[in-house]
Order: sequence, then C-alpha cells, then structure tokens
Amino acid sequence: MSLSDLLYPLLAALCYSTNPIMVKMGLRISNEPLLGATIGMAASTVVYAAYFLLTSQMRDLLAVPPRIGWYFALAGVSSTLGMFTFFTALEHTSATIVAPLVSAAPLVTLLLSRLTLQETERITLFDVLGTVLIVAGVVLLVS
Amino acid sequence: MGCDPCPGTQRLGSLHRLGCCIVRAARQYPSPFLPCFSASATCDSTQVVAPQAALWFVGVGLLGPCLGRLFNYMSVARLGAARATPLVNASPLFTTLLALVFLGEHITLKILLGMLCVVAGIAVLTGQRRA
Repeated sequence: MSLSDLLYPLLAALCYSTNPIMVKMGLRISNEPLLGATIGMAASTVVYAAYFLLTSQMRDLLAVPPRIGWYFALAGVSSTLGMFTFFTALEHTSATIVAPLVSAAPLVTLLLSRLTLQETERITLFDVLGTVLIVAGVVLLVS
Repeated sequence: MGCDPCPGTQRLGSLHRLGCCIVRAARQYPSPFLPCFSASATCDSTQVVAPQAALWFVGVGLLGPCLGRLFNYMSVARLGAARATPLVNASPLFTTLLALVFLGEHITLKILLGMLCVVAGIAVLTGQRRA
C-alpha cells in the first residue's frame, strides 16, 4: 500500500469525522436527532440525483445489471439497519458499551473478507495488526 | 404529493423545504418505527427544527452520506474491503482533533493513547507494502 492509497480512505474518514461535530452544532439549536438525520439523508439523495441528472448518467445508473445492483442495494440496507440497531441499542444500553462494540466493526469485516473474498483479497498479518491497533485506538477514543 | 412551503423558510431554499415535506409526509403516515413523527401530528415542522439547525443537518448529509460514502466506495475499490474499512473507521481520530479545535474539548491521557494507537495502526497498514 502506498501513501497515495491513503487518500480516499482518509478523505472518507475526514468527511465522516465532521459529522458528529456538525450534528452537535445542529442539535444545540434544535434537539431533534431523527428529523436532523432525515434532513441530512434527503440532502444527500438530492445531490446524488442532481449529479446523475446533470451529467446525463441516469441511463447508466438504470443500466447497472440487477445482480450487481442488488449488492449495492444490500449494502445500503445493511448500512441503514446498522444505524437503526445502533440507535435502538443506545435506547437500551449505555453508550459506553455500545460505542466500543460498534467500533469493532472492522474486525468483523476482516473476518468476513477472509471467509468470502479469498480470491480477490489476501489478508496479511500486518493487516490484522493494523486493524487491531486502529480498533483499539478508536475504542479508547469513543469509550 | 403537493406540499406547501413551510412558513419562514423562504430564504433557505429547496433543501429545507424538502426536509419539511418529508417530515410532514412522515407525520401523515405514522410508522411504528418512527414514533416521534406520529406523536405530534399537529405540530409544524418549522417549530421543531430551526432553520439554522436544518442547515447544519444538510451539511451533515452532504459530507457524511454523500461525500463520505463516495470516498468509502472508492477506497474499497482501490484497497479492498479488509484494508479500507479500518482506515475509514479511523474517523474518530479526526473527530477528536476537530472537537479539540472547534468545541474546545480537553485532551486526556486516554484520548492521547487512542490517537497514538490509531496512527500506529494506519502506519502498519500503510507501511507493509513499501517495506
């Protein structure tokens, strides 16, 4: 892995990292988490739809083979289910227990990759060590 | 479905009005999963979410689900799921840095240790192929 390979994951991390700050800013003004999340998701959907419409790629989007489209759709559903179960967990359990458990998600991804993506992804000891270190650090940060 | 612009939102443009419409539609069709939508059916959405807060939430949507997800998918395409996921999940490192700068939160030994662990993990993942 080269330093340039870090660009996209760290950009993603940077984008995600601003979320709690901006959510907190918004909730300080109106303490309505669910409505806030709805507005945010609506804004995101509008931008994606506008991009595909303005660049005349809507036909390409609709031409994605169903077999591949289902994988992306399932990714979206599992992501939404993850959010829903996260909030449900917070209703029943302390955040100090929920947050570290959720942070351990990359370990599950590592295991699932090993089981299902053997042909395309080779996992090394360094991958395991790096993932464990990041998860441990994140657990310390969020707990 | 038609939706009257919410009062007091003329200056905020279509995104906030869209948010109002979604909230209003959700309240008209109560769902067991969204009890707070159906709990106050007569309440106007602009009385619930202030325009300034709505702008912050729009920003959240643009950076997280929109750009964040795009970069996440690009990372998985380039590095694979097993390597991209821990790197993307290192976002609390940046959140902590932003919270220290913008929210004035204080750094503790636990936070410092956590940040060091995350940076070390990134270094291990990044350094393996160059070694």
